[in-house]
Amino acid sequence: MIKGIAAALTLLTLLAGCGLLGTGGGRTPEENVHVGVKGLVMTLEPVQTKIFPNDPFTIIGTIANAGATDVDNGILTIGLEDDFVTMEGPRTQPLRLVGRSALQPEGETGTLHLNLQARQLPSVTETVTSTVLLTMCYPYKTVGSATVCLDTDIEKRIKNKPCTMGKVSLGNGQGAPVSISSIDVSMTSHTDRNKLIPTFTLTFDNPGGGQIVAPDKVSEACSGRAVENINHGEVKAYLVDKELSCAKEGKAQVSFEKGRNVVRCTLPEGIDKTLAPFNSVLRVEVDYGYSSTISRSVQIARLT
Amino acid sequence: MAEERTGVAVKGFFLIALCLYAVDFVFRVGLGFGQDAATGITTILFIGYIFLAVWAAFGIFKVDDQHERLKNFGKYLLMAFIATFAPNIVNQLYKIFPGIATQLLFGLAVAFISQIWLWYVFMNYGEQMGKLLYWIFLIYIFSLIIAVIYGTGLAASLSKIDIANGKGIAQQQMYKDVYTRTYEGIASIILTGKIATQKGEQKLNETLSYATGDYYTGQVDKKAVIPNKVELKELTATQAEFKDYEPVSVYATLSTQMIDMTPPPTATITCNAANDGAKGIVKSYSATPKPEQVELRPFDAWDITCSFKEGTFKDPPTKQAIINISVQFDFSTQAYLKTYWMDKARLQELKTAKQDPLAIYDIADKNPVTIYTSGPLKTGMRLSSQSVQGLDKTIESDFTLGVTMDNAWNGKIAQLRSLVVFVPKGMRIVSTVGQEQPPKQIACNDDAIAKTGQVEACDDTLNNIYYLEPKRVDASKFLTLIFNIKAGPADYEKILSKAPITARYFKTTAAYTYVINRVLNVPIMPTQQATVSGGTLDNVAALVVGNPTTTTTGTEAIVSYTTNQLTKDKITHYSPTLGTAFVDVFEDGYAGKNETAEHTVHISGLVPNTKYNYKITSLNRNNIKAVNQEENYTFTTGAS
Repeated sequence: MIKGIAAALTLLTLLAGCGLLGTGGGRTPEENVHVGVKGLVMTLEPVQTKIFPNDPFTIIGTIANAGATDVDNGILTIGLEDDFVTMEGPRTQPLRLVGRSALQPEGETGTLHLNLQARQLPSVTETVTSTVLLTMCYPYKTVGSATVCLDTDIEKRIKNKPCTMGKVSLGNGQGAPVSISSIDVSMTSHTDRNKLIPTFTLTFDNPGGGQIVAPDKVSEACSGRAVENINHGEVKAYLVDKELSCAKEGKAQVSFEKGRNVVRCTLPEGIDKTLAPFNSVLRVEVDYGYSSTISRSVQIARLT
Repeated sequence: MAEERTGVAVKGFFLIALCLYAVDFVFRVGLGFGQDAATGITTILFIGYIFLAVWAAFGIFKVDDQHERLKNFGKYLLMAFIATFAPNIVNQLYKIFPGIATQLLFGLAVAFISQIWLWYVFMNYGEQMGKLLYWIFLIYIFSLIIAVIYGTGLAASLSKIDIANGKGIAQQQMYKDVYTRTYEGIASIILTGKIATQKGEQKLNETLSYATGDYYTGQVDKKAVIPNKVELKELTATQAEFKDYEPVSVYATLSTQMIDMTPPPTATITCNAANDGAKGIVKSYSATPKPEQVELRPFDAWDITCSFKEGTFKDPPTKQAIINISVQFDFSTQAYLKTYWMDKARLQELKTAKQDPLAIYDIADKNPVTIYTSGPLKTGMRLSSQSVQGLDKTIESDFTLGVTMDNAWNGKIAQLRSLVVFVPKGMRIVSTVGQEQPPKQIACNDDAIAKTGQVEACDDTLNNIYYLEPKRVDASKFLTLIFNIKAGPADYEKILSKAPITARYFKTTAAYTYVINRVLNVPIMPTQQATVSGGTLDNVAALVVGNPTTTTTGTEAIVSYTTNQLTKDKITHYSPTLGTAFVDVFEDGYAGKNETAEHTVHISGLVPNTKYNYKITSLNRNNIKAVNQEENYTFTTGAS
């Protein structure tokens, strides 16, 4: 028993020394950038309300990386209604924007400048409302960590426990459009009677409101091609330095569909029942491709 | 059983009374307001109503008490009298109290009082009439009231203009038979009902067609600053009524409100009289290039007159001229329908993930409707019930595009000349349901595109264009065309572009000829009969009213007389001093004179103390000679 407590204290000391405790201690600069529920944020200036046929017009705006992940190979696709609007230049543009970090807390912001032109209207047609769709597709990562209590005393022999095992909420997002909203910790039985398996039920949300695709399907997401596994991301979870099993082979595809946005991760090797309740740090990483669209409508009206 | 027999008897009695009133009504309709029915007709009607009285007192409504029975009989006889003579009494009241208010008042009184038998049965035995007769009676009375009001309103409009013209002769006509108006009123109600029925039927058909999927709706371009409008106001006659020897003119205002089109549509204006096929002379003021043609430019208006030469409605004689002005012009209506397209597998994937593909891509216009340009035609289109169309990359996809064209204004689509359909590049129309010929694929430089002014907006790289001359089975109904469309794997990239979701437009341009009609019934007054010394004469010729007055000296005579028409006259007198010779003497100032009703003929070179015989010959505007030309008049010169 004493041996077990000593081991747990040693582990706790090591974890604290490495700075991996999420909510228990003071925030590090790195942790500070992992807040919020935004990834790439596109902001457009107001478009002219009325455009005459054949007149050029512009859509101006900015794209800012408001999250904590660098975007190296994102894509911006401009969708036009070709019958009424034309555009100079390519319909797709690369997106490369550095995310928030300790060194650059605001993240990188790029400008957007699209030169468009209204087409001629048919003779009797007086007005047409045309919509321009700007779709950003980019790979992104949500990284979150939390201090979780692991309690092997399922028989409740210890009266004054240093922590209580249960559900941990992660409130304000992790600096990405996809967030880990809660972690529920429980213990399940192990084949070895002297051990228990820590089980973490992770619940995800998509507060960014965009579309999630597999991280390797980013280019497809911004094209007209078929995209598989829409609304799925890849989850990895670590208890300190040990990777948890979130699915077979330790890699999980999580669905962000409501009702199915839960992933269960375990430490298959388990922990010794002799360990007293202790706090540990759970780190979760979600890789995904993210896509969001902003539309702007313009009214093309003939000069009357 | 007794009650059943009574019920049947009541129904029979009521029906016979109703028939009698119907006969009464028809007879009186032919007479004219203010004129009583001929004695023979009145007698027949009176006998009919007396029959009802007898039947009521001693048959159907017989009471056991003899005294009471006789008393009732007296009451029924009074009712028969009222039923027969109420209109006559009212006619006399009209003459005593002329005026619109009295017309209305008396008309309504007749409508209620003279139907006394129907009221009697309705009030006393209504529950035995049965539902059908009950409703027939209510509709009958209601129609009568409306008809009287309607008829009186017409009379009112006539009387105002007559009074303004100060023509006493119109007074009689002013009180044109209220029954005639009633008849017109009822006819109008029936006609209105028929129109309403037809409209209702059309709407019902549209609804049914919509429900069964072959009527596609659209929405006029509400954002258009200038909704196109061509309006022909109601026709107005230059006079309240015309005499049959007068020229007849009506006028109306044609106005436009439309966008500037190059070239502007040209409207052709025609005018004719529907009842005798006569063509009127059309003149549109400020119009170019011809009096009967106007170019429909933005915000313009033209006064249009239509004139018929004098005597047009004299032969054959008619009481009213049904004058129709038509404005016919070529126009085109464009329509477009936005559709959303996506890879079929991707769409399926989104559905599986329970994601709304339109919400994901920030598309607010989730159910785009067909927008059509304002004009006489409305167009609806539909591709399918799906908000987003899935396109398969590996196999050919089939779609159907439904297009409905329907009349949006109150005129008529005289001819649907052509329909040009623009489908997104990569799609092709392979057939059209209900049309023998498949649409012909054309290019932007085709005449059909040029004629509808779309060359500048046409782009072969964006659309495949098809031309069709639709055949309409029933020109009065809407037309729905179903186009079968195919898109193969080779067209996949063209349609979907490189965006996750793509908006593609289906567009149509319908070219058609549209006609707006306005009709006016113009009262035509036949030439009045007049009595002269020779008796009653043909009403189509000029007549001498009364006897001429003659002032003579020894060698001269001045003959004065009045004709019932405007004429130019001559007098032919037999000259005893010249043996059998006749001498023509034209009225004063004959050569340059306008026709007149008051004539003076100055005859000179006469022999004193001599009796001369003479005849009057009149020529009216239609060069019709007076039939009294054989009438012999005389005068005797005085002493020298």
